[in-house]
Amino acid sequence: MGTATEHGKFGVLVRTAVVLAVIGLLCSGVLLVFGAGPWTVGVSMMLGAPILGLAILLYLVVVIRDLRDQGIL
Amino acid sequence: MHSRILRRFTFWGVAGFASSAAAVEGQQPGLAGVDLIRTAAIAAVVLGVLILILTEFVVKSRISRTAYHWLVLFGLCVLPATALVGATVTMLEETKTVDSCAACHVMDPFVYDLQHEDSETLAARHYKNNWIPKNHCYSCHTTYGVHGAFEAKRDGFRHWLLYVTGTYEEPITYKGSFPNVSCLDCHDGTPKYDQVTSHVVLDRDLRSDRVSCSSCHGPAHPTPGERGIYEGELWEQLRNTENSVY
Repeated sequence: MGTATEHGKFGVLVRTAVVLAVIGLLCSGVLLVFGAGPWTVGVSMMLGAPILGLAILLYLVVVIRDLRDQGIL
Repeated sequence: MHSRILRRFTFWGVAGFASSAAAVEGQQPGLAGVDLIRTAAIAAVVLGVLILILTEFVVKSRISRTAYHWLVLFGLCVLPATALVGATVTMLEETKTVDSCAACHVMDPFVYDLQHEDSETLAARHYKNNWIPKNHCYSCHTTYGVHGAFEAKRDGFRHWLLYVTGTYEEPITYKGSFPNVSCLDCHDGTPKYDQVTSHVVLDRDLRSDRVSCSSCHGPAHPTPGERGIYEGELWEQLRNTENSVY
């Protein structure tokens, strides 16, 4: 079995999803740590949540395309 | 600010175990569900950031493809979903509190009046007599059931949008009419309520909102003219008192 980098056909997409997820998680953390206020809600729910959603969506696209390539879907 | 964060972390770190143990002994109610969810969400955020950065940028070339897939799946789906649920639950719960309403400075006169021990407004009397045990603003400004909660959140979003974009005019005013059901849900049927002749005579009108409770008992909050007393030097002093929520 090879290492992860040897099979990284969708590497750019996954890396983009990872970066987005990290940003989204940090934004979500703002509300969790500081509590609900006008700006924390804005950063967490209006910025963090869509970014996290986008990251998950990108990852799902990668998974589906990978499964199609392997003939499973 | 730092002490507040430190207190919160200390609470999460220590209270989780201590309160659970105490709750078993019947000394205190124990850790609330929302606090547990919030703690799990914070752990998910920390773990998620660490796993994703380490997996993608540090150890990717040294681990097997299977291990990489599992770690990415965990870091990109399970942990973000946990964080999102935690953040949403925290937001929905925390936005019910008086502290949350006080976070927008435009609400300062209302919250201060609410907590001022000499204030005789309807809202202040409910607050200081503990007639509503918690979430005082939310309890009166939300009609009941899922529909009421949805409306409250929708209005809350609209108010938030107006506040952060600065597209509101002062003095702020209450749009529409206050539904009597918010009062009747607690007061209706109590001996004290039924003893008042006008309540009996106007029963139909009160139930159909043709006559507002605040016509006799209101206004619940300081009027635009009265809000001025909560400004200036006295107001600044009161904001800085130990028990202030600001």
